[in-house]
Amino acid sequence: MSIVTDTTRSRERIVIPGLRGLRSGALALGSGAVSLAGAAAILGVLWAIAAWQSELPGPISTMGTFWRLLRDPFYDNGPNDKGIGLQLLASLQRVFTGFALSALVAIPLGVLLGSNRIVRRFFDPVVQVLKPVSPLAWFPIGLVVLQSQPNAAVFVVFICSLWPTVINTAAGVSSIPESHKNVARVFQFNAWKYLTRIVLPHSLPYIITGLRLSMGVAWLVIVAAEMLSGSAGVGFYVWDSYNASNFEAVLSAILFIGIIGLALDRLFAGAGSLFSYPEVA
Amino acid sequence: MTAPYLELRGVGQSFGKYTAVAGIDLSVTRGEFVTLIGHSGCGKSTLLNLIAGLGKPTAGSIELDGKPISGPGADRGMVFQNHSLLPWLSVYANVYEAVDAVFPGRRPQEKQVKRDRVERLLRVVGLWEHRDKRPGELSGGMRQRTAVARAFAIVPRVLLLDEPFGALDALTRTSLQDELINLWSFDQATETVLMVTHDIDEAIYLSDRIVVMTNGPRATVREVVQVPLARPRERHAMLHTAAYADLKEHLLELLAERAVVGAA
Repeated sequence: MSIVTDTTRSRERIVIPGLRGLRSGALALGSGAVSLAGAAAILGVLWAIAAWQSELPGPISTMGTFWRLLRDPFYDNGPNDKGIGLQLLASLQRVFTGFALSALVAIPLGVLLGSNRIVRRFFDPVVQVLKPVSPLAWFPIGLVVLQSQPNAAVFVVFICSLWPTVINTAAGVSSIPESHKNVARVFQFNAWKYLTRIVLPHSLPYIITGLRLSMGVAWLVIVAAEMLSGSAGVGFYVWDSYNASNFEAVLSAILFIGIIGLALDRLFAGAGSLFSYPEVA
Repeated sequence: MTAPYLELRGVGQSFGKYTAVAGIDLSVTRGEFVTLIGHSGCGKSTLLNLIAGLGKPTAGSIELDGKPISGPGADRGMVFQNHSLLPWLSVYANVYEAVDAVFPGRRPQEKQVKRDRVERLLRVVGLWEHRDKRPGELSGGMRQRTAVARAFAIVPRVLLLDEPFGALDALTRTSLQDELINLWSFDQATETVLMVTHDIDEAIYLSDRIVVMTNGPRATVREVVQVPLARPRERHAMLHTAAYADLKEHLLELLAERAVVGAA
């Protein structure tokens, strides 16, 4: 099992052909708004059935709460009563801190792994073992090392968002065509020129894919970490609302989490399309 | 008779059990244009890569100006078979980065010299107007022109060309051949040229001597043929001379025989 083969799988995972087909089919029908309305209608019906069969609140009462949260997102009535906007900002701040730190480590580490076969052979088992570890298992480690619950949440984000960027960067660097390497050798590129004119430009699309996957992981992980860490953040908000039996707030928060996650993913997808060069045969 | 500038003695290259080329002896004098010709897979490109320093011969020795070749060097410029431009850099940057790598001077004056050189070469190959385009926006001929400009830009003593025009259409190919000859005669520093091709007309039109290779594996030099045509050559006049016809016939014979030679 090498890092590289693993990556192709994880890269494929984000391009789901079904979704592509669904999207183009919807576009053929008319507009994105039509398909969105259709999806909302299907979701609403299923939701209504689920609510009728259980103690979950239905779509209408939830939308009421959703609007109420959206109208006043930034109120602050002390540590246990803050608006959803403040909670989301607290989470986003942790996500970006953990994500930025992990990118600072992951990109150089990925370049190192991708450019040196010996380093790769040494590190590959480490990555393979650490990658599948559940985010929640890292939480106590973060607590022990950092002695602070919010910082432990950042630590969990950091650790979990390392791997996709490391693996994708390594895949990019190790796939530099022989012809580019020969150019660097014949024209006497020094290490800096080789890194900035060949390694990084070639790997950039891979790195952005890695960052995009890492951001997805970070956003997944923060909710779980904040349920453990408490204090603030959207994960804390979900757990706190559950304890207060405010299921409308829980469901609304899920919607907010989903919408922000989608926006973050689109952001990186947009960045990725800025840096694609047509490879010339 | 001048002393050999580039000297290959008993050069061989094996990849594991497979021997691509063996027992190559070749002397090239300063200022010569030499073409390596042979069927595909005969190890011409392998030999050129060895001279470029991209590989080490498993047998024999290669000396340039009396010194053994130990790796790639700025004294040898190369045009690759697939142009090998960096797709994220503009035409200008592709040439400039090569010049900048070979001449790393940081002073404004030194940078200006580099910029002037890039501009002059891009003007010679007719790409100055297209300097801001990326390779993906260029035609095949323009890409290969950029690659030729890049190779000349580092002021190499020896120019190595690996089937540079093989992928181009006939019209583009002839105009690039003329540009190559112009650059070669115009650029005093770049005197010696080694070119790999499988096009007999190209070899005759461009070179002073043609090295015919036998078929691989264990490809070696079949015969070295002198081209008895005075320079500057005129393509159309050349086609109707007896010398040209005889030479072409001789080369065709050598290339047709190679199967028998290879089997022996």
